[in-house]
Amino acid sequence: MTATARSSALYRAVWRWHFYAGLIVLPFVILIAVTGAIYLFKDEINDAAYGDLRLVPAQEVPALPPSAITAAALGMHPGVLRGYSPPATRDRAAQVKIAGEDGLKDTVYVDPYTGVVIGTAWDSGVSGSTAMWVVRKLHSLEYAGWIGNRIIEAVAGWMVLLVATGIYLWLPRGRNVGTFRPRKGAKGRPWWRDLHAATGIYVAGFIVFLAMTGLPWSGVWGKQFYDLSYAAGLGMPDGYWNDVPLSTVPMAEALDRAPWIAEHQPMPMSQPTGGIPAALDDVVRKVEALGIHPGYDLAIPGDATGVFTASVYPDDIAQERVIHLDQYSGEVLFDMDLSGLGTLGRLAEWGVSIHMGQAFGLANQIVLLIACAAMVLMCVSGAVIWWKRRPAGSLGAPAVPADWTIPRGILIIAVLLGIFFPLVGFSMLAIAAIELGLTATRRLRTA
Amino acid sequence: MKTIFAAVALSLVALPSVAQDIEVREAFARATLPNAPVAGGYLTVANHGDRDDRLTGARADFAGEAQIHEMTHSGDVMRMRELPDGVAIPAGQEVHLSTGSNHLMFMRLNRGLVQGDTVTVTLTFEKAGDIDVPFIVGPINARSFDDDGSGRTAPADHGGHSH
Ligand SMILES: [Cu+2]
Repeated sequence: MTATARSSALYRAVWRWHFYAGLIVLPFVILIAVTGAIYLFKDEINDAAYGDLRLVPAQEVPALPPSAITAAALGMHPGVLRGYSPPATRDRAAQVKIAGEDGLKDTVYVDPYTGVVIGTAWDSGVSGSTAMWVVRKLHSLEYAGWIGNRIIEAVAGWMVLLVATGIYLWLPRGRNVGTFRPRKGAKGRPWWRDLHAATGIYVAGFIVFLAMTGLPWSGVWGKQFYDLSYAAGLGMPDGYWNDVPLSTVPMAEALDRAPWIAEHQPMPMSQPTGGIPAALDDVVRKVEALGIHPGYDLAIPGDATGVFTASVYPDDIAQERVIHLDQYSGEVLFDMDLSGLGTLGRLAEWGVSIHMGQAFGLANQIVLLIACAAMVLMCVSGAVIWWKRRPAGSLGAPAVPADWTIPRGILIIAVLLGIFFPLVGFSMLAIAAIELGLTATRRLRTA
Repeated sequence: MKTIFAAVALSLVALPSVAQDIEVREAFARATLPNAPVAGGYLTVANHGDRDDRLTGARADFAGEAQIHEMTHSGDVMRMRELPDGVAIPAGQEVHLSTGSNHLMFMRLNRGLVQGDTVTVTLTFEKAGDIDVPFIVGPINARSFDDDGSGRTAPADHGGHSH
């Protein structure tokens, strides 16, 4: 084989794999991009759609104490108090989480100045509304259970693969093709091809970043990453918990949200001293004196050994904070800010914050919105290119060469990628098996 | 006359409060947790006359203000708003102000409502005028006049302690 023949075989193999990967993940990429774009603006959307619950006329008088606000909520919506979120600003309602007599956890919105209950809604945790909860569940495909989560993990890995193969195909190699914008006078399929290539080169970095910052939540990759980084001493410092008794409940289960690196850390325990629980007003006063950022949530102890937990994840991640307090003595058992998370924990929180459009405020949201739109455009243009060159009545996949071999360079990269993204590895093996099968049947037919 | 009637009603709680054509029965409020700034009031109003009337307001010595509220449900969301014009009590009909719908909202409470007590609330009707009505104070999770609240989750009272 000459060098040209070898490089053209490589080019065709990469193209074929880019084609397969693109076709398979296309509907998922559209789903992720659209739901992601919506969720970037969840606070704005929630305020617009549920402003009559979330917002109140700001008043000059001081707000009622937390004990009064929660008592008002429990009076109108009987049940067990589970959480309290003081208004972040003077024009916001207080939110009281109550497990109702029907067994459902609800958010009760209370005017902090009058104590009047404005309304209630099913508690959707960090999403802030049922609609945004649905969007979030679709984004992670958790709607389809753990299988959905695995699919999204594979899709994220394939997106990285698409970027890598896409950049290889993009390299101009002296051809007359559009690189940073569609070539002049291009129409029809060449124009779409150029649009796909040019958009791709601008958005490639964002796709890789979003895929990689989304992966820590995944079931296989995320868990491996967590375990390996813990083994490498990059996880939560072991000595962190030395002097407080611990429960067996992981933080991610007890709270709506925990820092990624601390998700598997156990919740501390309160020491039942036969005493009465600390007053909510005292707990709130204490965590606010510790300088917790407004907009925090306070989780109420769920049982006799449970703790109060105040936590907040503001746009400025330097202000991130988790404080656990003994429910009887009101003593601080644990007070963690960003610096306590270790380098990797800090990196994860920073990545998550950008991924969710928070870290750089509105600019962050707009840039990622454009990236999401570009991803949809990539899907549309990719589909158009395929549709236009597809022979009538067939899939129109690039032909598998009769002498099916994988160029060695590709093989090495594929194996490495398959190890790094196990779910991509599995799906690659499946596709390779199909290709081999196709080649074999053709050989049989021509023989 | 009305005062006398209220006095009788107070001593015999089960007896309905009647003024001309308007009859109020099964009036109750929910007991409050310590520090609670508001409480809900619930009742049944029957209009035995042949002209429409309207409940336009309420007042009580234990509250700085009392409003008439409506509850609307859409999907998982419940909203509560003041009804500034009150509630229509059409002729020959019975109107319920209950825990899941329209209700009285006692605000700026100057004392807590204790289960088992009876408190007096003055209801104002457009045509029937003012009527003093005894409200039984039920448990904090009472759903009806004779609901003793048992058999359902008792509310946690972390919010209530003040020491
Ligand atoms: Cu109300």
